[in-house]
Amino acid sequence: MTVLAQADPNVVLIPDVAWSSFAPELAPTFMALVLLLVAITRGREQIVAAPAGLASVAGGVWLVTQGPVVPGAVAIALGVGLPAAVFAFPRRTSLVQAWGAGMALVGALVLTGWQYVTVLDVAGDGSGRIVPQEALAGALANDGIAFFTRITVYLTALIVIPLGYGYLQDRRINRAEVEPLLLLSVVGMVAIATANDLITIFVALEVFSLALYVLCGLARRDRRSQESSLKYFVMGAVASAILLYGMALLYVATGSVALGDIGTALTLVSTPRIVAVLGLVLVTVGIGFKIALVPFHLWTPDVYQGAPTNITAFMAAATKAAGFAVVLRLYLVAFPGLQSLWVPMLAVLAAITMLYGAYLALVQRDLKRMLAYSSITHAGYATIGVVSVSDAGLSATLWYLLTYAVGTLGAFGCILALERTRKGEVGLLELRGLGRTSPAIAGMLSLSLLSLAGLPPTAGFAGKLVVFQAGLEAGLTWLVVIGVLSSVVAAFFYLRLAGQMFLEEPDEGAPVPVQSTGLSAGIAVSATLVIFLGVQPQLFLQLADSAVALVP
Amino acid sequence: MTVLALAAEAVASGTSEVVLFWVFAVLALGAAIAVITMRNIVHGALMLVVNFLAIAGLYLTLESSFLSIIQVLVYAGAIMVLFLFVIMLLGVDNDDLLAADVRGRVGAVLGGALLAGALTFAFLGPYTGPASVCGPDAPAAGFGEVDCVGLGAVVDEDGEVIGGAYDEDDASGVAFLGRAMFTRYTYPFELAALLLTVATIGAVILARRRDLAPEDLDDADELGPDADGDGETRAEVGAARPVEPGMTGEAGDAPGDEPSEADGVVDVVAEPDDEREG
Repeated sequence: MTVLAQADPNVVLIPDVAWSSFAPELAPTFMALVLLLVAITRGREQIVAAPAGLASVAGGVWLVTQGPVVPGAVAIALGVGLPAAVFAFPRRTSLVQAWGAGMALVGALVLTGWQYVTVLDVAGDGSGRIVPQEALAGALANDGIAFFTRITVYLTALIVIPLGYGYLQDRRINRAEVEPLLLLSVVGMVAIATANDLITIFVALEVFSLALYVLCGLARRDRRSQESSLKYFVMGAVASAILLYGMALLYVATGSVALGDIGTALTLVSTPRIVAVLGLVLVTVGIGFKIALVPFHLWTPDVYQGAPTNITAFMAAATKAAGFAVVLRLYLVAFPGLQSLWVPMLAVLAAITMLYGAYLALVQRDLKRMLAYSSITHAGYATIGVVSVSDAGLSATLWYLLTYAVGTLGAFGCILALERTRKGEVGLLELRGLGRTSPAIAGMLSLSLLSLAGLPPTAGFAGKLVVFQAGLEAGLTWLVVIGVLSSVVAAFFYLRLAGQMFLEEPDEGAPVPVQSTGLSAGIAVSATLVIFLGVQPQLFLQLADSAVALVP
Repeated sequence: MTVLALAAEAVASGTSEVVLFWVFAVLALGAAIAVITMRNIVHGALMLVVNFLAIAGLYLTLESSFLSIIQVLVYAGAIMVLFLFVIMLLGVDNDDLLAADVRGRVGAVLGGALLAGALTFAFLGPYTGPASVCGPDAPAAGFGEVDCVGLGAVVDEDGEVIGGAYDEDDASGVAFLGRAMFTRYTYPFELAALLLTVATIGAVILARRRDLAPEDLDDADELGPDADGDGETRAEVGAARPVEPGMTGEAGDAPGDEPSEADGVVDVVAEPDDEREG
């Protein structure tokens, strides 16, 4: 705003862009655009890949000479990597795209680490805490939420790409637009996790939602996929409208779209309180749709079931991380003045969500639908961290979302393996005896389900433990008790499923898992992470703990 | 602008603003109600135009002339043409577009009434008091009131306008918007570019009538017993699309060698137990 105040109308303003503040998002963005161009060359990918690579290398060299070595190196690596991929897989555009997208996501992760080291001030007092920063005139906040959500979302997308490659290939829905859309939705998710004003939040939400609507409907000849896409679109559009209405009311009440200013204004007595409360309620409804809290969850099972399974996996893991990032920032930065209102409100929603989700997961007969209800339940657990309104609660939510993401990716990966040979979904009864026919997949699926149930020594256990601890510290004993109850119900169910897989005889016509390199690699990585985060949670827990500082 | 500038003196007392506001507000609300109550959907769309124009008027009273013009150009112009285009394409006499079940309607009415009541309650106090009208006569805002929304003018002792909404460097229109968009809001602006990219890709995917390679399939047999899932969500897609002779018109686009979408529809409706087409 200082720039604005000094502006002389006769001078051309060149906005001062702090590129480093959103450097990780640039890699997937540019890769998405290049991959789109690559797709339209139809077999002569080098026409696009070579010049784009050359430009990227040149840009990288310039960056290195200017100072920021790591971003330069990433640009050079991507600039070399994409033409190399084209050279290695001639005339196989979808493979090139998968590799390109993977490389961009690795680049984004590297840049996230670079940002952590150089851009984000890690406080010198030994606590390792990130000192939050604003950038781009307050449109973007680089704090712990942003940092940790970047890791979760990029990691999720990185695992989903190899997981889904064979599946898309088998169903012949490996369109040229898949990877670019996936990358762009990743960018949208990260943008919403870094957004620091209402406008950015809304635009970023639309970026990733629109991409997901389209991705859900990828299988044009599959009615369920079409239904899923349409349902998600209509429900999502309504939710967006409600959210926007709430945001408008918040702006009316406080006179600002910046979260920090809203937070300040809401503590003033002169702020019309009822308008602000209405805004808060409508925003909660809108965001509740996106993270699927219970009264607003109705779209979830149908959408998750109908969408191509790899997209479902991505939605389940990454959308939740992005949604909770924005929940954390909105409620903790903008709404502390209305805490007495939203804490009970969200706590009740969380309680209903945990119980209802667990109950409905019990009665499902379809694996994807069951996992959809499980994802609803997990939204409830993550909300416990939010309503704790404490540093511990914040880091617990971020950490929980990571553990949930790896568990759910593993589970959906195994479903992908089972679905390869068939057109339809996999029913729970068909899993009978899977442990006899293909012990590896059955083992991985059991492991992931145990993690989702929250049994030691998996990631899910570490996640739930931290969240429940935060809830207890905040005095929300009743909520934690409900959480434990709901996990017991879920654990019973998942264990029964695991028992079915290993103890019973396989039926005739049971699905035979098909594996490919990418799928196996994806499942293996997520299973390893499930174990690693469960046994050695310290590294990421510390990162989550260092993430508690927020832009005021 | 000139009209409003002429009215500046009336503005100083705040009367013209109030009058303009009420005219446009009643028009906008009335048109909005008409949009959802009109039985004829084309009339509804035309009422939407009235609503858009009234809102443009409201922007004008808020001294945002550029936004007002854009509202007319984009919404009343472009978007409405698109709406009408789609309506005409779907068929004007399609009454079931308006159908809704009673329970849903009751819920909607209740929810709407609740929201309307809460909004009225919230706005009547702080935003309708004398303090909310701009002008030298306006009293200072008291507790819970908002002062000066709208045609604000900062007037010195001699009655000369020296600032506020009449300050030409400030807040009057395109210059202000442009500066805000390219300084404070650069990031969301660029994100909006990505949003348009995503929307374009999505539109291309949805608009492509035939797939590159139909995944439906050479091996329909494998579809077999996958009806294990719950049947509650499927069927509607097939059932909601009546098989009219017109539907088969699509077949003209996909002659012969591959199953067209129209064939699929017929198949599914004929055998409602089959979940997938093909």
